Amino acid sequence: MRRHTERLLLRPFAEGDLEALHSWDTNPAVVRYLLTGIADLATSEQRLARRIANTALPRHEGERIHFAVQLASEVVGVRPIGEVNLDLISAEHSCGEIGYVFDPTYHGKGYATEAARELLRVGFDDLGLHRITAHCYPENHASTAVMRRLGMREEAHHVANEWLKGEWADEGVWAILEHEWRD
Amino acid sequence: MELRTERLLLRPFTPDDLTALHSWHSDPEVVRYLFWDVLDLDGARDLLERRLGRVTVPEADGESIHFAVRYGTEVIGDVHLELLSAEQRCAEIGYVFGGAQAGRGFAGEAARELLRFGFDDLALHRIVGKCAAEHRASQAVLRKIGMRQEAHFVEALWVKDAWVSEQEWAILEHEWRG
Repeated sequence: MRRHTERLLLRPFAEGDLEALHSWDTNPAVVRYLLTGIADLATSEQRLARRIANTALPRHEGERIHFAVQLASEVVGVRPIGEVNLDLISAEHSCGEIGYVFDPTYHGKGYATEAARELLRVGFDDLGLHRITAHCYPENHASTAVMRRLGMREEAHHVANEWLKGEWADEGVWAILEHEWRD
Repeated sequence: MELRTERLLLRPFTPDDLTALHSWHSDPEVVRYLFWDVLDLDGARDLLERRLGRVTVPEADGESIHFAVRYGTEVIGDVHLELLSAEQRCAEIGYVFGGAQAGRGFAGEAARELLRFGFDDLALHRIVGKCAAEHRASQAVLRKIGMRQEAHFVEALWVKDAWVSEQEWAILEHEWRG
């Protein structure tokens, strides 16, 4: 499935996206706030395979849809500038979760917000979700700024709840409800 | 295994605890903020059956240990500790007490002992407690045992045909010792 925004195209990942994905996987500024560390090429290939496999709307708990994000003005299939994902966390509680990673070259232009805003639309309109959350490290100010611009609310600041890359890390949880998003 | 506090004995559930367990779980005020509604005797029997099987120290993620809380000759409550993540050394505690002894600090006393059990005996790093955002009595217990409120999840749960907001409280091992 594809989704268009004003400046962006959200499209399925394809084999040709390996170079872009691996460039993020090996960029310390990108992986700094991810659960994963620097990845070798084989790991990036596995990660790409999962992205290529997950291109349908998540209908069951634990399922995820991945989108490669590229500039809409360029030819379809061109090198993506980032990626976004939407997970179905709980069918019973009608809750989804979004995530996003963008190439630092394209930071500061509002692309992450624009793509994530489209994901909220997928979650609330297409999936009929009640609630969508996002997790991040509280010191990742670029990410928290995106969530704030999306209209999300900071609902949690978990202290030292995750042992990550050799130290205890905090975790923030942000959320927005369907009726808040429509208002 | 058994734990003791000044006034309470925390011990494994036994088949004889059915009457006590049923008495709380048939009280609408007690179950108001739980995930299920009032239980009939068969429902309480099923619940007790599960409690009887959870009497050893949790070692795998998702395992829990339950204790019947005895005061004098009476079983007045049900407390548990669930291992959320062995890797992150994190657990969750929970408690349900009958209404007859409310307001005497028993829940706090038992919960405080669970913290000691978790941090001293199990060497945990972090222990959390969750409750419905409207459940003031439960929040008072979490505050009293030294936990910090870390989260308020708005309309996060669909329970008994209504959206429920949930709070999460936590305490770290060094905070507990400090």
